[in-house]
Amino acid sequence: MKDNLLEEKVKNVLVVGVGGQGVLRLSDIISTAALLQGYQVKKSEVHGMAQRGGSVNSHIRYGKVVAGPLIPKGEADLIIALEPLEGYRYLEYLSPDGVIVLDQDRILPPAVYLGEMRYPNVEEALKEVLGDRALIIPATKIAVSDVGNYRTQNVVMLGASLKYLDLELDNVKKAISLVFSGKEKVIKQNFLALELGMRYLEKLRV
Amino acid sequence: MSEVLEKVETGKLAILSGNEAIARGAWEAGVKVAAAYPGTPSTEIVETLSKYPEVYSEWSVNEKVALEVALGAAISGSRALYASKHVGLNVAADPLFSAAYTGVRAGLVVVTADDPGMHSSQNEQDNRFYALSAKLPLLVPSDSQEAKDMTKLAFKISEDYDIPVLLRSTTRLSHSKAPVTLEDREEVPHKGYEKNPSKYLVLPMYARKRRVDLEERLEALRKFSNSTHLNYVLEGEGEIGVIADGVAFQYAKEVFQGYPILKLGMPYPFPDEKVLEFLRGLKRVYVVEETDPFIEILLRALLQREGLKVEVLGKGLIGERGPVPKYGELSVERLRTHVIAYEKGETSSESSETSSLKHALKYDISELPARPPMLCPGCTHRSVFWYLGKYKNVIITGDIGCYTLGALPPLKAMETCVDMGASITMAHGIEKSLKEKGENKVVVAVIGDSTFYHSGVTGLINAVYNKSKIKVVILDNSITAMTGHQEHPGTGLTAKKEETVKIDLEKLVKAIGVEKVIVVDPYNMEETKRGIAEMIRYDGLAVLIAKRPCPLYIKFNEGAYQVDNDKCIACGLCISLGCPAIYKLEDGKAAINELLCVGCDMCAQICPVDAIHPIGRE
Ligand SMILES: Cc1ncc(C[n+]2csc(CCOP(=O)(O)OP(=O)(O)O)c2C)c(N)n1
Repeated sequence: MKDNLLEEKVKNVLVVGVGGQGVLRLSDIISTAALLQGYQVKKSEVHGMAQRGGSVNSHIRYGKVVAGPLIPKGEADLIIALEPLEGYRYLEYLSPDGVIVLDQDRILPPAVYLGEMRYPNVEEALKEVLGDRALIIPATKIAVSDVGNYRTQNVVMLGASLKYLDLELDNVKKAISLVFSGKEKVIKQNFLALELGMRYLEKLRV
Repeated sequence: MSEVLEKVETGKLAILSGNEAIARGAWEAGVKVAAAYPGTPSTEIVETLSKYPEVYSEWSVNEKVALEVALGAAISGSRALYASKHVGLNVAADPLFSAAYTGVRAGLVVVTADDPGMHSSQNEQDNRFYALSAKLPLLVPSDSQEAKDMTKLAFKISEDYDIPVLLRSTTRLSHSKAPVTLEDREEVPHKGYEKNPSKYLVLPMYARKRRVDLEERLEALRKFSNSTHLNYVLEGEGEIGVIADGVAFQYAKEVFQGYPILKLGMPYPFPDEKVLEFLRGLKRVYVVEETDPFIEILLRALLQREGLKVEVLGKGLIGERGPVPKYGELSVERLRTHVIAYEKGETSSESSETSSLKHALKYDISELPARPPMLCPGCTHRSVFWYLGKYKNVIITGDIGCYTLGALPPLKAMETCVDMGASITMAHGIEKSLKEKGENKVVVAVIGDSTFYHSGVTGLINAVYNKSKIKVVILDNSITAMTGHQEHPGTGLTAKKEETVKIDLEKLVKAIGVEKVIVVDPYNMEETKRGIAEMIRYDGLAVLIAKRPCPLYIKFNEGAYQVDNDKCIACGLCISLGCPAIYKLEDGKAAINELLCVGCDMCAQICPVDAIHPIGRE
């Protein structure tokens, strides 16, 4: 069998989080931006039972030619985790030089809030094995206090991940306008969220 | 780039899920009638169609009804579409088999969305076998663009060969999104109705003739299958080839790069000639398909017929082991590891290979706290289960819907769940069975309102008629919540959001002949508790209706509550409701997450020390 590298490299982005956090909306924006950039795009997500407070994920793949909609384990160039535990849960997907961007705010799973289990210190564990390849972002905090809308958390995360997406800012902004089309106020808030996410990353990397 | 943007903005290109693409394809093909009962992963097909003004769309009460509605529309001249999840087609299997005999007049497309891996289903059946047993042509798209194109073509095939066409999707196709080129709607002329009993009335004397005719139609379809571009070869080199369909084809393309691949967009009738041509010069063929060995069985039959010796490697039959996993969803890496393990002669299929990254991790990923699905904060089903669970000497049979989650801890108030409607019928069977043993156990059936209209009402009629003493709880949240809030006969709205008659559940149950009917508000804990006690005590068949709309549907939010930490005695009672908004502090006392709490008041009502109040009110 030949190795799995496609002739042209495919970009693999995995977005994960908890039901209700806007995982699917974020993956809509990324895939639309990739389409506008002229790539072939495939995106896969989980619906139904899994959405009732469960763990949600969306696979996005773009490039010259994309075959299947699912990212093979160990091949995600980027994981955007809207919740730290969820980021850790999907770590097997990360490629050997991939980057994971995590929101620092935790959402407690049932076994933890019912007092049966502890929430493991996944942030520290990730830093230990990945070092600079794990970036922790206070996205919820920025969304709440600086944007004034906690729902823009996902787009703050997008801003903080933009560098690793190989997508032009212009296309990402157009994608946001298309995904939220008709909602001028929301679009404005999301542009701000994007900007603040990007700025935070700059600061982090200095 | 700007060219793409222009296409997006002018509606010529869009990123569509497989389901949206099927709906779009049907619309472009001029479909006039669409009928379905919701079910993941098929729901968005008719949900999307219902938004097109040109298409009459309905939520039928169940799948059998939906298919008959669509068939009626087709034989009277309108292109029609039916959609359901895989198990839904079992419910509609009766009309499906006969529809192959009657034929259709205008195109009829039957969409089945299967669920390999059981993302949100009770089983993993492979509905391609319905094509074989009901004798229907089968199309299997592998991405969104194909889903749209094949749906359009399916209508044409259906009309050309006067037969319903089965179109198989899977969860991964239905819920994956990809760019799709959009076209205009083609207004196909209405063919009208023409009386023809010898075709549409399957009396044995007519049906026998139609059976012969069906064989001729299938033979014509076999010829079509051999010539259609839907079945094509992706050129490659060597003596090893691959045959694949659906999303599995995409995985095969990635795993078997460079090999010749025969892609079957129309696996049935099996394109025997095309397959034979593909096999020429090959020593071995991998068959990559999802769920069961459908193509593999057909291929092996063909080889046997031709006396050919080509090694076929797929899933294998019972007792055989092949390189393709027998169950569960496929993926590129799952397929790859299985094929590699098979070729190395390893005995275990599921690869034990782990990445070095995984070894370096401090916490084992499989031991992380899980996020099982839970009843939502403010869920109207919660109080009923909380009280029912306190009766240790009753048997509780369940059904399918959000409320099946009442079976999980901490509520744990449901013991069976088999298929839609089975709560009432199985409760009846259990009661009759235990009576034979001299046991007079109370058996309670719990069922949702949409499920009750789907197939619960017939079971209740059966129970009344056959002198049952079972107790039935109908959880009436006035919507089909599980699949994302679809209308049903109790909502007063149609799929197209038009006002309609709203069935009065209480009157309906009484009209069936149930003498004891109790109605409670599940947000009122005392009322719910008394209602359940009264129902269980009653000597005879009793029905309890817990009536209150789903808080998610009506966006119920009365403001969050909080726990007075000084008053809380850490008794754990409110925690035992299993509400995602209530959590335990280190000292065992309770606290409420105000972002999640919607103020249903259940916990406040059961708190023994009155420690829970709306924020800002004491
Ligand atoms: C034959 C069949 N059709 C459809 C489904 C998908 N499905 C499961 S439960 C359900 C409806 C649940 O609605 P309801 O009974 O009102 O309960 P709720 O989810 O609102 O609590 C549907 C559509 C299925 N499992 N089986």
